[in-house]
Amino acid sequence: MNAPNWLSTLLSIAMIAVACYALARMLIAQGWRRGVDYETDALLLLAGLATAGLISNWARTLPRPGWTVVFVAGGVYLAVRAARVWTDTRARRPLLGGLGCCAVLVYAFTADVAPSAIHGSTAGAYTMAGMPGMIVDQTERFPALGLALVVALAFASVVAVNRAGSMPQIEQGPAIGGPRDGAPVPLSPRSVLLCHVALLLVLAFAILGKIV
Amino acid sequence: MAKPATAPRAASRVVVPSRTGAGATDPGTALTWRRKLQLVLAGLWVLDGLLKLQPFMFTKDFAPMGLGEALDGAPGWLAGPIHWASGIEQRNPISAMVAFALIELAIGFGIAWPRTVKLGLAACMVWVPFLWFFAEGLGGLASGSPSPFGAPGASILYLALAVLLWPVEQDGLSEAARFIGIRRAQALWIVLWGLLAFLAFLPANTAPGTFSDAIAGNVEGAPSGYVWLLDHATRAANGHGQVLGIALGTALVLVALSVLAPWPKAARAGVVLAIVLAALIWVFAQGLGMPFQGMGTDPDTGPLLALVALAYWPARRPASATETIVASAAAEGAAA
Repeated sequence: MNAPNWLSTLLSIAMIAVACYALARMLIAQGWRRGVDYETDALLLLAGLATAGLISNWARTLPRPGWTVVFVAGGVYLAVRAARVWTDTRARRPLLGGLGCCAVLVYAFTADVAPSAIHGSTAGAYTMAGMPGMIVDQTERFPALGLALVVALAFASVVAVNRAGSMPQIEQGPAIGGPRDGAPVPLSPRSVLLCHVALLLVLAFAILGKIV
Repeated sequence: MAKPATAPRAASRVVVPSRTGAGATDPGTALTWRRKLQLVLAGLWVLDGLLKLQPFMFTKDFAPMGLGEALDGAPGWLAGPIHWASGIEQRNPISAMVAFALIELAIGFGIAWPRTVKLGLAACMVWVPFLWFFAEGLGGLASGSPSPFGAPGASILYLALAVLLWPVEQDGLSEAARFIGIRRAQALWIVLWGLLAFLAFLPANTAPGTFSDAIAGNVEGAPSGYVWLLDHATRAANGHGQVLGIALGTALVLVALSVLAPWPKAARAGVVLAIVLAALIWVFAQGLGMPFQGMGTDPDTGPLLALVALAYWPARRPASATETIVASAAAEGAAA
């Protein structure tokens, strides 16, 4: 992998920060009497930790089969939940988003997406392996699927940014009746979407890092 | 999906931000067609930015190999500045590529964030002329043998889309016409597709091996299923460059003229044909942007040509102000 070390380190730290933020949200929500989506935050916590290990060796935690099992189980759980609330679009959408995230992570762990120990690009290995700077590396498996996932991640991140920017501002105010009277105030839902965007971009970076 | 922690006393008050000219919508409501097109443009920019972070881009070999394509047949006044830019990029590959990636990601997310759509599109208009000149060599238009498969360059199409999709409230016959007006939108369409048609008819692009060579050049590194498709297409096109060139040129002429047709069905057929041609060029001649060797810097012009075509999809005829007034007066009269 030829991406500069500082960039991989920076992105790994960002992913760990995302995981810590998700954990903090779940811990303080009870005390602050604020509403959080535990499924989304739990997924962010796990995905943040796992993704950090995908791009930096020092951030590795569980072994790859362990993470694979975690995200397969998470994906099955989210798929069942989504099937149960299929008619409710608002409830279904984040569940399907989480399912997609689990699918990308399962791909990453089964297709050997990992930091490369080789210094030098493997690009052009098919045709120009003899040229300076072209070093044949062991390619990650299913590279075409990886590229398709990168495209999907790019567009998913754009949709998430649009949703975050379109989200209504929520202010603390007196109870004046209506359907939300007595409901907990969501704890910074926009920040969760932006954490998702960061996760999607870093996953795309990880896949591209060893695509050839 | 949200689960309440405990029942709090305070309730929330939802403040919906005012809509921007981007046609931004609240979550849960449908996006406008114009906003969807803007989001596709934003997605392509984000994808461009991500592709700049591939390992090969951080090597000193990228500049001579990546920018070298822009030098093919370029005249001296164009080749000189490209050499100069290539030298800078070669000396500072990491900082240059990180900067390029950040700029393109910022443009993409600027367009995606509803309140900064105009800023993102304006940044796009500022950035793409540099790309078009230094990285794409004017899309090969100044070279000795420009090709309809790469011209006029992805960057200039980004610029066209930034103008066509500028946030605006007024109605138009299509999204493309809403900001720049019908005449200018028609002129842009004719110039774009007419230029491609002209290039398709050039002798160099109707030689017997033009099409088969272009298709065969995309095989290296591609997945096996795609290689199978390209191999078959290469064999089918081998020796038929003249027929295929004339057919492509004729189809492109029809697309260019369809925008002038007074019948909405003809205009729609022209848009559909444009999308089909863009898809064929992208799949067979551009190799999906050739991402399989880790050296693709963008998805090439195919998706952008299709996006331009979608912006020209004829809208339902908008009600004019007079018609609206007459209709409302009639409704009031009926109510009275």
